[in-house]
Amino acid sequence: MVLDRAGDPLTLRNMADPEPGPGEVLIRVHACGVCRTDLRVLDGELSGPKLPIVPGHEIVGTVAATGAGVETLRTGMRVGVPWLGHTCGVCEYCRAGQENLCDAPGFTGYTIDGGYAEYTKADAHYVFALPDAYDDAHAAPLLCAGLIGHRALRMAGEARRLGIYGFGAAAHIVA
Amino acid sequence: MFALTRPGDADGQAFARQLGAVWAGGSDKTPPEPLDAALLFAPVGALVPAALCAVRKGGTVVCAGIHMSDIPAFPHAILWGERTIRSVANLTRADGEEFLTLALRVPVATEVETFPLADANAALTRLREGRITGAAVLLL
Repeated sequence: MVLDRAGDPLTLRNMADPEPGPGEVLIRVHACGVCRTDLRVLDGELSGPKLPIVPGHEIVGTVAATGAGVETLRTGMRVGVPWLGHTCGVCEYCRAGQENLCDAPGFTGYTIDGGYAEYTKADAHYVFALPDAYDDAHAAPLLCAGLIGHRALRMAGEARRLGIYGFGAAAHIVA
Repeated sequence: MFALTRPGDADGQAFARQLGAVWAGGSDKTPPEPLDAALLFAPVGALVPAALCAVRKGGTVVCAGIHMSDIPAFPHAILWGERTIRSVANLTRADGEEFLTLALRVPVATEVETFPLADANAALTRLREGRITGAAVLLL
């Protein structure tokens, strides 16, 4: 499913399977979560998207092929791909362990083609092995809603009385 | 845990209670006790001053979304008392590894509504209209 222009509906399209480059993996997608951030991309509320773009950043699938230099992942592994899909590794934030604030990041389903597709490719450094306890559908929301909920909860410190405003995907996982 | 939904969203409030909220109500209401912290997942800037009014001195308001409508001006008095407002940006790989390990131990449960890939537009519309319980997922 492809977004050609902000504000348009997605269109179903046949595309060539992506080719994994050095350090990348090709993933056969089994499931992909639909996140509120996808709406922001579709509505053009986030600046500088890659267009056309395949949205989707809560990707669950299996590694179908590996590019040169990929040693930690192998074909057949069940993996997940989150929103942060690439970082530069050299900016002051990356060097300080704050890669989430990288000055030149790549975002899955926003600046990098995502998971609303049969196949996608991803930077192997931003691919997680997934626990078997979750099936594909139930694992997908962990990859954004769950992760952001976790990070937000950590920022709340030792809160005993916690208020949650907006009870959607992230909130239900925090609960 | 106190859940604040769109005013009148009885289904959302019932879902929150089902997941353990001790109180659930509209975001136009004030929770029955002062909060230690508020997590804002709704992309509504007007909730920031509302949440500041709901947290105790020293409390934290966390804006968790990537996008939010403009935050209206508010009196300094509701920030005073060393209340903090902060945002969440993206994730680190360490967050991912930590969370996926923690998810098994807690254990973290997810509730999903599934759609075929070709119905992505319908799933997005339902999400936009607040008609998804839990999370929407496309299956291939």
